[in-house]
This record gives sequence, C-alpha cells and structure tokens, in this order.
Amino acid sequence: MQIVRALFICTLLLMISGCSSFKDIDKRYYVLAIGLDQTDNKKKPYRVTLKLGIPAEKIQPGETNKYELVSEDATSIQEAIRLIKTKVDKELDFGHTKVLLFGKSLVSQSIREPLDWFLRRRDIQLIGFMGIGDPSAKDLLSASPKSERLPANSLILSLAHEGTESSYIMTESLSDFHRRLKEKGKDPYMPVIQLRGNTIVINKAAVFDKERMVDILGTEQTRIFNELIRNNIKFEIKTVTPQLKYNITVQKYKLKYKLLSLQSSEPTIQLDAKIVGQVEESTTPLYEEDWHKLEKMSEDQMKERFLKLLTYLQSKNVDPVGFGLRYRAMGYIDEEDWEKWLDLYPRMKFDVRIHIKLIDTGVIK
Amino acid sequence: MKRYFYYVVIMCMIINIMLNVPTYLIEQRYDGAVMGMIAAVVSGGLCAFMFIKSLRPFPGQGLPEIFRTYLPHAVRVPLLLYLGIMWFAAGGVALITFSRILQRYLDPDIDILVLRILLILICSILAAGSSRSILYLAEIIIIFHIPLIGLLLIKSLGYEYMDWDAVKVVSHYVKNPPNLEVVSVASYIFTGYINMAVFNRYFHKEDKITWLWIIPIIGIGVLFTTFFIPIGFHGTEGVETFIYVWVSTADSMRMEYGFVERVIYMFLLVYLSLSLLFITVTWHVGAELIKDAFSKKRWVQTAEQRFSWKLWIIILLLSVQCLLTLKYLNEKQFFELSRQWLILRYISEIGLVMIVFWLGRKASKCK
Amino acid sequence: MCDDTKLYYLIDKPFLSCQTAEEFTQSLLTYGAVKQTDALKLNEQITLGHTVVQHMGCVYSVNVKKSLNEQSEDIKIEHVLTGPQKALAEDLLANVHMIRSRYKKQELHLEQYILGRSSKTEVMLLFDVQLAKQQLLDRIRAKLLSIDVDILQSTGQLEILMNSRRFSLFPTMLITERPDRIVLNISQGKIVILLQGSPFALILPAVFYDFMSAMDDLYQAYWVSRGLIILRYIALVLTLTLPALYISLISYNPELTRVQLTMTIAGSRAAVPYPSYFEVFFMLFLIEALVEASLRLPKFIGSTATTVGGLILGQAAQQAGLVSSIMIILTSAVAISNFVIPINTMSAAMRFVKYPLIVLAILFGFIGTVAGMFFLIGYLANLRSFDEPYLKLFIGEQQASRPDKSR
Repeated sequence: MQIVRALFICTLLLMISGCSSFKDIDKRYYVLAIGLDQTDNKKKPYRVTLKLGIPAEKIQPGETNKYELVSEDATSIQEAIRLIKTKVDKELDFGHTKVLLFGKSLVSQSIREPLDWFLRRRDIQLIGFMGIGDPSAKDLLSASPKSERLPANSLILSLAHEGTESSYIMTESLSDFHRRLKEKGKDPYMPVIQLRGNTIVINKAAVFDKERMVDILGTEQTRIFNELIRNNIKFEIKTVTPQLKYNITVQKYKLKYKLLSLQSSEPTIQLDAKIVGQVEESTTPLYEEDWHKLEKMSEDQMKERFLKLLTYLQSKNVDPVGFGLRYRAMGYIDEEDWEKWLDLYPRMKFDVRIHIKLIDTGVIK
Repeated sequence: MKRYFYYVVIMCMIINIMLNVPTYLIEQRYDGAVMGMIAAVVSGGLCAFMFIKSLRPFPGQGLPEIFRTYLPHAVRVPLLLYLGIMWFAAGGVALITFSRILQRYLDPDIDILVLRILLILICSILAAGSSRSILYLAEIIIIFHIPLIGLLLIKSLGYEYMDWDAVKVVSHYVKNPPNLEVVSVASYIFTGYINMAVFNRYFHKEDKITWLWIIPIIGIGVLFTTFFIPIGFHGTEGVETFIYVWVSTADSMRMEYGFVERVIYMFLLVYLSLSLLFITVTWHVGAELIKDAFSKKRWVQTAEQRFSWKLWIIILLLSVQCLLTLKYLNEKQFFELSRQWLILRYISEIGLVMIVFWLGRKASKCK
Repeated sequence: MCDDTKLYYLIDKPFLSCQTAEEFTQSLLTYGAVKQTDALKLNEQITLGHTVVQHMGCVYSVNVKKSLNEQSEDIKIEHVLTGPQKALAEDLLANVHMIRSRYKKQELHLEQYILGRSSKTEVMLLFDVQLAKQQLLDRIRAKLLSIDVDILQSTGQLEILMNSRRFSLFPTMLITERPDRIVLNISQGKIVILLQGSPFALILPAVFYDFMSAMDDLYQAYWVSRGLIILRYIALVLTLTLPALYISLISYNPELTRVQLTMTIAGSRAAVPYPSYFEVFFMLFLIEALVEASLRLPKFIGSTATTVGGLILGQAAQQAGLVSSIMIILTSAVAISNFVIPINTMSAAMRFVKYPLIVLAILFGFIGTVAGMFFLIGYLANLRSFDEPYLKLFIGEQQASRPDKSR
C-alpha cells in the first residue's frame, strides 16, 4: 500500500514538469530542404532559404506539393534561422530536412565554415543529401515539378536513387562529405543540381579539396566519376567505331585498385575493372560478330575514358577516389610518408585494365 | 540456470557505448588503442577465467558470504562498502551518459532532471526485487534486443559508405604501446562476469559454468566493432569531431526499406532498454553488497523477497548523486571523471579477482 | 428443495413395503441416512436439503436434495475449433464426474471444504497426489481454511480471496470452464479448485505463459499452432503499445518515420483541433464502453449496437473532425488485438495496463513508452504465482506449465 502511495506522489511530481516538448504534428512546419547562398553583402554574407512543406490530406501528384519558401540574409546561419522564425506561424522542425543545397558561389569560396552549423545540430540528419545549386540554391528550391507528390520529393527521390537510378546522379550524404573533408587521403565531391524550366537536372558533379570547390566536371566525366567512386551501380558503356556503334548495359561491376612500385621512379596505380554486361542498343546486328573483338573494342574505349578522367583529377590535385587513404592503409602511416605521398600523387601513372564479358546481345540479334 | 550467466556477460559487453568506451579508445587511436585492445582481451579473459574458477568451491554463496567466512570483520565491511559504491558508480555513469544522449538527440526540451528521476525510479524499483527476477528480466530483454543490434552491426559492415581502407590504416598503428587508460577502458567489455558476486547465490553445484572460452572470442568481436565501425564510417580524422561517436555513426545509416528510416532512433530506443537493464542489474548487485555490509546475520536463501524496502532506500540514497552531478559538473568534466573512474575500476577489478582467487585456493585446500 | 422422486424411493416406498420397523431402519441406513443426536444441527440439515425422519425414537437425516443444473453447458468463453465443445456444469458432483471420466487414475484425490457463513458453498480440491507439490498443497489448504467470508458464489471471488495481495492486477490463477484444460493441468501437477454453483474452475499455480496459451495449440498441426502463438504475442505487444506509440510519434518525434508518411499524417490531422491525447482517450473510451455494453445488451439489440458503434460512430467522428482517420484504424487494431488473448482475466488486465503506458507517453514520448514497457516486463518477472516465477522464458527447461508438454 505504501509503495502505491509513494509511486502516486512521484507520478504527480513528474507530471508537473513533463509535457514541455509536447507539440502536435500539425503545429510544426517541416523544413524539407535548406539552401545556403552567398550574398554580395559583406556584413551579411549568408542567405538561408528554407523550403517549408504544407501538408495535405490526400496525396495528388502536382497538387499537393505546395510549399512556402522563406529566405533571410544574416551574418550567420543561426541568426538567419532565428529571423525566419519570426516570419512563420508554426514551430520549425528540421527533423525531416533531407536536402542541403549550397550555392555555387558559396562553395567556390569556402565550405568549411558553413558546414559547422549542420554538423552541430542534432536534428539535421547525417544521412541528409548534399548538393550544389546552380546558379543558386534559392532558385533550385523554387522548382516544383508537376509530378511531385510532396514538396522537395523529386529531389529526395532522385538523390536517394529510390525513384530514378541513373549513373549520372551522384549522391553524397552529410556524413560522407564530412568524412572526406577531414580525411587524409580522400577528397570530397558533391552533385551539381541545375534548373531547367521547372524541372531539376542532376548530371554533373563537383570536386573539392579540403577547403572549397575546385572544379565542376562535365556530364560525361561525371558518369565515369560515378563508376570510379561507387561500386554497385548500373551504367552503360558506349562504344563507337567507324563500323559499329553499340551500348552495353552493365549487370555486374567490380573495381579494384592497387598501388605499385611506390619506391621506384615509376609509381603506378593499377585499376582492375571486371564487368559483365549485355548489349542494349546497336546500329547493326551483333550476334554474328566476334564477341571477343567487341569486348576488346569496348574495353579500349572505356580504358581511354577512365585514363582521361584520372589524369584530369590528378592535374587538379584532388583525390576523390581515395588513393591516398589506400597508401596509408598499406602501412605508410608516419608523417614523412604522408609528405612523400603529397609529392608522389602528381607523378603517379595509371594502369587501367578492364575485362568485359558479354553474356548476350539482348532479345534480338 | 547457468545460461543466465551469459546474459549478464553479453549485457556488459554491449553497454560499453553508454560508458563512452568508444570515445576514449578513438581518442587514442594513433597511440596504442589497437594494442591496448588486444591486451584488454587477454587481461579480461584471464580475469574472467580466474574469478569463475575460484567461485567453484562456493556453490550457492555470493561474495558477501564468502567474505564473512574467511575475512575478519574489519576488512569485510569496508571492502563490501567500497565494492558496492563502485557498482553503483557503474550504473550511475551509464545513467548520466545515457540521459544526456537522450536529451540531446531524442527530446531536447525535456528537463534532464525529470528524465533522470524517471529512470532512477524505474530502475530502483526493479532493482529492489529479487535477484532471480532480475535474471529473468535480463533474459527477456537480451533475447529481444540482441537480434536488433546484430542487424545493425551486419548492416553497418556491408554498408556502402563503410570504408575498409580507413580501418586498415588504424590497424597499422598496432605497434604503438598502450597506456593504462586504454587497457582499462577496453577491458570493461569483459566485466560482466563480476556480477556473479551476488548472483552466485542462486547458482548451485549442478550449474557449473563451462564454455568460458567464448567470452574472449565474443569480446574481441564486440571490441573491434565498437572501435572500428565508427572509423570506417567517419574516416580516420573525422571520427574525432563527434562527441558521442556511435550515436552519430548510427545516424549515418539509412534503412531504405525499414519502417524507421533513420537508424539512430532504433539504436537509441534499443539502447534505452539495454541501459535500463544494465543500471538495474548493477544497482541491485551494489545494493545487495552494501546491505550485507550492514547486516549482522549471514544471508540465507529464504522465501524470495519480491520487494525489499532496505534495498530500495539504499539505492535511492546512492542514486541521488546522479542528480547532483547535474549541478556541479558539466559535460567535459564528467567525461574526465568517468575516464578516471574506469581506470580505478580496472585496478579494483584486478584486486578483487586476486582476493577471490586467494580465497578460492584456501577453500579448496581446506576441503 | 427436496426432490420428490428421491423422497419416494428413499423413504416412502421402503416405508410402505417394509414389514417391520427394524427393516425400515435397516433400509434407511442403507440409503445413506445419518443418525443425528444434536437437536441444534437439525435446522442446518434441513436448509441443506436433507429430510429429517423420526423413527423409533431416533432421528435420522436423509439427503434428498434436488440437484439443479446438472447439465453441462456449452462453451461460452474459451472457444476451440476441434476440441471438446461442452463446458463444466454448475453442479459440483457432475463436474467431478466429468473430470474423473477424463482422468482415470486412482492418484486423482479430492478434498472437500465448506466455505461461506451464509452460503455454505462446497469447494472441492482436486489434484494428482503423485505429481502435485506437497508444499503447495499445504499452503493452499491453510489458505482455504483461513477464508472467512459471508457469501461465496463465484470462482472469481474465490480467486480474490485466495490472493494475498489486496491490489492485484495480473491474475495468478487461471479460471477456466473447459474440462480438457483442467485435466491437462492436473496431469502437469497443478491443483484445481471446483465450486458448487459455478461452471468455472480455478487452476493454480498459473504463470504468464498459461494465460497466453489456448487448447488449440495442442489440437492443431505444429506449424499452425506455432504461427498462432506468435500472432498472439504480436497482438499483445500491439494492444499495449499502439496508442502510446501513436502519441509519441505524433506529438514528440514525428521525424521517426519517412517524410512522406509524416506529411500525410500531418495533413490528415489538420482538421482536428485537439492535441493527440484527447483523440486517443476519446476513441479508447468509446471502444471500452462499447465492449462493456455489448456484454450486457439483450441478444436482439446486440449486433445492431456493434455496427452502430464500430462503423458509424467512428466514421462520423472522423467526418466531424474530432479524430483523424489514422486513429480509427489504430483503435480498431487495439480493440481486436486485445481479444486475441485467450484467457479473459489476462485480456482485461492488459486492457488496463495500456493506460499507464499512454500516460507515460504523454509525459515523455518514446522514452516513456520504452521505459514503461521495461518496467512492465520487470514487474511481471518479479511476480510469483505461489512461488512459481511468473514471467520466464522456458528455453531448454522442462517446465510443468506448458500445455504442449505433458508428462
């Protein structure tokens, strides 16, 4: 009996100060995407744009992706958010912020400082997707494709590869970006999202060094970049010769690389790619041709493309694939070894070996 | 009956995250953490083996009874009090750390004092029950939550962003010698066996605990995943940025096809149950030790006490210090304090194992 | 109270056909007459349904009680697909007859007690003397002898009287009307108490697992019964935690689910002006009232009321903007899952337990829900049913209380 009484009193005590964070789901305004831009104003360098989702009961594509875009200039991100809070009627909830966009001018200057706010807050998901908005993040956030069921949904679906699975779309999560920013031996990258009319196009990527954006890769380069970085994607290999033109769809893809002869004068990175694919499109019937010849032609062309991209990245002195980390993983962990690497990387030669295996030519010959 | 031993051991292995073990290890990752972990495996396995072996001549008796038979009064009482307080500190550290994590990640507006009072109430009422009930509770909780943790680990090992190169880099630092801090921090994984101090009362001659060699093997697995997975996710340099490393690691994972997309929520809620279990078990053991220090009669296995007022009062009095740390310590100071406490605990553990080993030898010589 | 036929055969006919008075005395004694010496006891005998005969200066009493309700009833509460379909009767001796004919061992012992000052109810203790624990028997006997109550009419009342705790929530003794369940439990060493005038028997000790097992588990194929057991436990967890999880999700941490789901839920709740716990309490109150009312409704109105309550009230409440549509699904899931629990007393206990969980969820969100479930499991693990652990997983141990493990 005593224990019941004691429990009762304790429960009453708890009730006094509980309930403080009780806030219903419809009293919150969900921030679905954040955009960060650079302004020309030196006193207020950051422009924060928030895309707030307006909920609807029945989901209809194109109808229910209503949103509200609020924007504010301030000296820091926290201040901007605070100013924005005065403009909205409900509590801002960042728990569903899945997309973090940065303006092109901002990342050309510096990404380190603004990133701190995103990492420090507990409610920004570390699995949030990052991207660069071209021309600016604010413009991107105003896009509202007609097939969208919820605001910012098209961005989320395409970046998460839940909707379309294209080999041009590079995905980068906040945690991965932060890891690459700090890591000795791996450099960050981000997809570049552009606006075309009312739709969004993601087919470029940008490479960073430890401080800012270094370069934006072209569309073709982005595709090969994707093949280099990620291991289990579906992509196509285009082979063009004077007689034949065909596309191979890749079913299985494995890329391995080794660092060899680092002490000698010819340090090499040997990349081995094993591909199993089938022909998807061709200008002439391929069944009767010598498949080994076809494979060889595709291999050569792919090797060219890989080499071109690798040397390009090397010339810009960025290392997004992670060769530096592999160097350290091989056992070179001292400070002097790292200095040696910084000197070694621009001199490295790439030896790309590709093995393609064609399993069939599709449904027709 | 003997399977309950393994539940307590597994519980202690998994709870290491709540004692900030990964954070301390990762701070020293370039300075001998890897070698320290291997040393901890050896030390922990050895201690477990010695302790359990030494308890064999004492079926049905807990540490208080053994001390009563062999040690003089002046040594027994302070020793039991000291041990009881160390046990309480274990539960207390887990409580404080976890309530901070909960408040930070799950519910920022909650008053942390109220949260702690709730957790203290729940754990103290359950810890004042009978030892058998706590073992049954441990069985149920562990069986339901270990598959979820296993799922998390397997998912993280095969995850797209898991970087094995970073893991290899850190493993090359194995040549650096460890210091006491790393060994003591890493050896907490193996401390589950020491709860037998009180639970041995219910283990009789036929419940001989075999398969002790499993403890080092599982311990190696747990230790290496707790240390290397955050490094694989956050990189060798980036892993230092986070205060609670494993929580941020859980946040970096996505379950695309699960109901809960952010793994961090599943992680936190599963660990809530496990932490409550850990706090209940440690506080129960600690309270039993202290109660026996103050009682004149030897403990006899009578009809089970389902709720003992004495135990509850002891627990409440000692758990008040968890609330006091709110006022006097900030987070950084608390980190330092728990680091020192882990080192102290390791030394005490070795001391205790030595004492029990000596008593065990004495007893088997007498027989 | 007297049965005319018995009166005729035991007293009238012999009286008329006997030649001498001694023959009649002999026949009276053969028919079970007891010689009474104490005049005070005669009133008691008459109220018990005996006839008092004064013959040749001696007073005898003969039992000619008319037995009521000797017919075994149909199963009303614990239905089974392929098992026996008749329950116990309301007469004690008829029940004993039923049980004996299913359990034909001579070790089945019976002990009779009389409880209740005004009702003088006969209580029978049944057990297998070889399998039941001696300690337990002594304890129960002592308990029965110490009961001092005015009227004892139902098994539920007896359970409360035998329980040493005053404020109890979880049943520690099983109440059942099925003879096959009783016989199975006797064969596992449990003790059964039967009551005159009640078609329900009391089985003790009973642990948590017993309350979640139905006799169907023994009568159906292995995989089918395993699947149904898993379903029952899932239903148990659902009925306890769904309302609490709803409140935690809606009002504390909506970021737990995917963004698409959150927006849909927010949209459907946009019309509801009240906070989420009001919705929950409103719908739960409706459902509880419905369940209680359907117990008492006359058969003719019964089904109409359920239709009205279930479909129309819920739908109308949603249209009026009082509750959201998700709440309706949730409440019906909770109500249905509750009745998946086979034994009524446990089902009622679980109906009660979800309210403290809801209160914890209102105060603390997910933390409160998980901590509350932890406390519940710990509390159940701490309960003892006559010294048997209440909640314990039986992995690798031969425990007496599993219905599919008979000795």
